[in-house]
Amino acid sequence: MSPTPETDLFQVWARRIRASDSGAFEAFFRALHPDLVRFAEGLLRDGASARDVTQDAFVRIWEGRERIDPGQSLKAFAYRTVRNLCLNRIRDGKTRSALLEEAYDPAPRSAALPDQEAAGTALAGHLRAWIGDLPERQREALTLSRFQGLNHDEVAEAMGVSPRTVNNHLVKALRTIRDRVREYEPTLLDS
Amino acid sequence: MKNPPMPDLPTALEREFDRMELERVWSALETAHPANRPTPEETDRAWEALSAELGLETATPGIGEGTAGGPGNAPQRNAESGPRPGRRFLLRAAAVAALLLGSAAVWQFTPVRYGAGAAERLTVVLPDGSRAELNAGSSLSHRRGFAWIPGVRSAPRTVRLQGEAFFDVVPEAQPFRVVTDGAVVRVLGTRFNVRAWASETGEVRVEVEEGQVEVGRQRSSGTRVILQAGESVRVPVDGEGNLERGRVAEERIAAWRGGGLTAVDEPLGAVLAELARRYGVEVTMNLEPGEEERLSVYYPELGSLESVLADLATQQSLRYRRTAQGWEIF
Repeated sequence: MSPTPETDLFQVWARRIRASDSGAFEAFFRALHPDLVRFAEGLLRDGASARDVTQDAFVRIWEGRERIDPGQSLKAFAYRTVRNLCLNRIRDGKTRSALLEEAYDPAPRSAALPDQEAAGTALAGHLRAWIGDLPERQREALTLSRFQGLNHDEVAEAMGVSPRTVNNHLVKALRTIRDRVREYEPTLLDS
Repeated sequence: MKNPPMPDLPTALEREFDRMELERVWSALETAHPANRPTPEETDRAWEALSAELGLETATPGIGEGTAGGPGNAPQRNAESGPRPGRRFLLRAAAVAALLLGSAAVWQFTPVRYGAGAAERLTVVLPDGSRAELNAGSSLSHRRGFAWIPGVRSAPRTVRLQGEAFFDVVPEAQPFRVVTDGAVVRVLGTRFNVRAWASETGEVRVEVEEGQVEVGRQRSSGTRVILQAGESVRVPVDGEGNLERGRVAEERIAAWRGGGLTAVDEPLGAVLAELARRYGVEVTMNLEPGEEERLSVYYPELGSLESVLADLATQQSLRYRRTAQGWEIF
């Protein structure tokens, strides 16, 4: 995969952060903070914990800056750090994640949809619920690739698996979502 | 915001699927985009907390204002008890010094402002050695503590631009930011032009001559593009239109610096306003509503205003005439 200009910028930041450049660290923080919080929130299902974890991840990145490898994707590294911290929290039962997961209710199916917009909103609600129902790793791969704008290799690096495994997760996730969409609104997928 | 293309899945797996169908699922997923991103303000606060925790050097407006001691701290009471002229002088000097110190802190944050008048170009050397060349009628301001305030380095270097300027930024650790109405340009060290007459053109346009710059909207953390040398971007300032990326020939970047003019798909009114600033005369337009068209022009060097107006009028099938204050196109 050819490097995009965006990854170049992350490379520049990686080198500079390694050299203790706080300005570069600030730029890097501002570029990723919103997306990382959202990513963590997806895993933890708790906004406050997600913000804590993200903050913690940046502290760790800064404190371990001398070990940053400019040859590796700093973006993927940040996602991996956040992800590991989230998984630790879940393991230690520090969030109400499990409880919330049960309570995660899909948007109700409305019998009559008055207009296109309502149809779109209802579909969005269903899609979110279906994504929420996916096995965890599939959901993660899909989220990172679809909503966080990570490329394939970065998703693999962030999740600590091979790109091939990412492929499998993605394919399975998309297949499930497709089947759900078909059940829900068969015409949606016809051109 | 981000709408990534669907990744390439292995063809072996693809056989199970109809590729089009998958593409449709992929694009339908866009609507399920979770909306709970933190706001830019929240990110600001998070950064403040983080930089405080890590003891990073950042300057926020207001540093020093409370510590330098305002004029109220001047020892006035002592002045009454000391009748000798020499002592009085000393106390007065102390009062003045306290006053100066107090205002120094305020002074640190009052903006420095440069403006180029009509028919004028102005080159400004900023405190960090970076240069900004202002086109006619444009202005630039920055905090007095632009790159540093005594004892504290501030990040990033920030200037506000109204109008058009060409920047030659000295590479430094701190990023350099150009803030305009509707767009923010962020760089490390490079040469680029920013045209920010958004009220006339409805957009901010950035063109890069050397290096790499990042351009985003002012009030959104998501939409941003990274430009390389020879690339340009237009940022529509109204609504959420896409940032439109393009290429630009090197000689057309900031043609105004050499007395030329480049306008890329701008309303006629914006081009005329530019000419008015450049020649320092009034250039007006008297057209039916809807008659105003967009146009692109490039002059390596402008001749007389009349010759330029004659060109434009011909190109647009309009006419022009002299008025008491200047010129009119109709």
